[in-house]
Amino acid sequence: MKVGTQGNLTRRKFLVFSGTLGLTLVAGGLSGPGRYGAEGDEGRVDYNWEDHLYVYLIDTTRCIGCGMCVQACKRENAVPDGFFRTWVERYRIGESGRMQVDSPNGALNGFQPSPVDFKVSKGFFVPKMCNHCQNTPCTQVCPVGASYTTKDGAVLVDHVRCIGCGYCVQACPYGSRFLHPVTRVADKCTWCYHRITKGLRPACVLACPVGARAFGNLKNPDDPVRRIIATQRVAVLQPELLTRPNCYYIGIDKEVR
Amino acid sequence: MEHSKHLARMLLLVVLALIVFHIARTLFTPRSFGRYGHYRADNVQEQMALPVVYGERNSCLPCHGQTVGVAGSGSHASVECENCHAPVVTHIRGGEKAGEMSRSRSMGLCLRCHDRLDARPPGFPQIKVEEHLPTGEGKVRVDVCFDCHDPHTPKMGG
Repeated sequence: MKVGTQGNLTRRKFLVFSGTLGLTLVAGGLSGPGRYGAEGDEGRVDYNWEDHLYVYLIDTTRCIGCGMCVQACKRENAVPDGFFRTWVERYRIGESGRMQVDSPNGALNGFQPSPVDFKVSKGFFVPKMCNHCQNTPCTQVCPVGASYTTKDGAVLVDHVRCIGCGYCVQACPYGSRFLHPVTRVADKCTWCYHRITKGLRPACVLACPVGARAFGNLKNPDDPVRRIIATQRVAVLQPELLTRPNCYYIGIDKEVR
Repeated sequence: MEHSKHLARMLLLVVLALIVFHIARTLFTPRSFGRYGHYRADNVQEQMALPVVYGERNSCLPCHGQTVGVAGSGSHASVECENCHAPVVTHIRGGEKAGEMSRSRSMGLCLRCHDRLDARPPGFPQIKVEEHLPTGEGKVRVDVCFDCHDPHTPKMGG
């Protein structure tokens, strides 16, 4: 009998507590400002993403490995030291099949001549970055909907929404994502979304002195990058993964992954 | 129907739990979430509103038109001003001068592109410093390149 009374009391307390909690939440929701993005229309730009479907083209036969793109990306996006949204790799391959690949500090300061203990029969540079895949593994694994693809084709991360679990970092087969050491959330190339939506080129494309990097719009019939992809032989990285990258390469070798 | 009271209480609890869940969900789901897809639509605007750091060549033109013209007609025409100098925001912000523009006179800057590397396209102009400099040169000064080359129009005799 006594036990039963106690049980009833607890339940009543629970109900009262639930009711109070619910009412408090409702009151809080009505009085305070919303948590996300309720600040209004500041910084809004007149831009229609339906008119664009972006595509990126890297001509490795032109790349000289100066690393100006890496430097520009760092400065434009305040990328923290030791982390890279884009980087450049140097491939040196010998006839014996021996190979050396390096990317000292992501090529932020370019490359130095360095000896290898085999005769180099071919050498080239490969700039790497987020491939902005159409069938992207990184957004699929995000448990909170912080990673997404815009209608114009860019794969972005919502830094407010991201909880920093790092699933997307592991899911990306190209190593294009990292956890920001200060904000502790996922970070990656955005194709300089703040620039391209204003009609500017991504900082890396702007900085490239030899035209190894190009940015185009597939929805523009006269776009030179669109024409190159349509008429020339281009490749993507790791096509066997069926990620369908929007980043195309000219002149990569079988060793490049 | 001896248990009807219990059942009614349970039902009440379930309904209450659903209401609490719904309220909590409404509160904790960002307002713009799901407008275009499984993400917060407002973030697109937030990304667009990030500050631009690198200007284009046009941002140098108003004050340095002559230099931009000279550089734009020489062999360094494809090299952006801000590559060798610094992003325009370090110099001009909101139409006001924000600081001195960087003017590097370091050989290292030249060698980023022109040091001979076995991975560089052979057709690209590149040098080996010890072969390129006149013989008998003592200690190499850091700004030795500028003795002969103007960085804006570096190609000699043309």
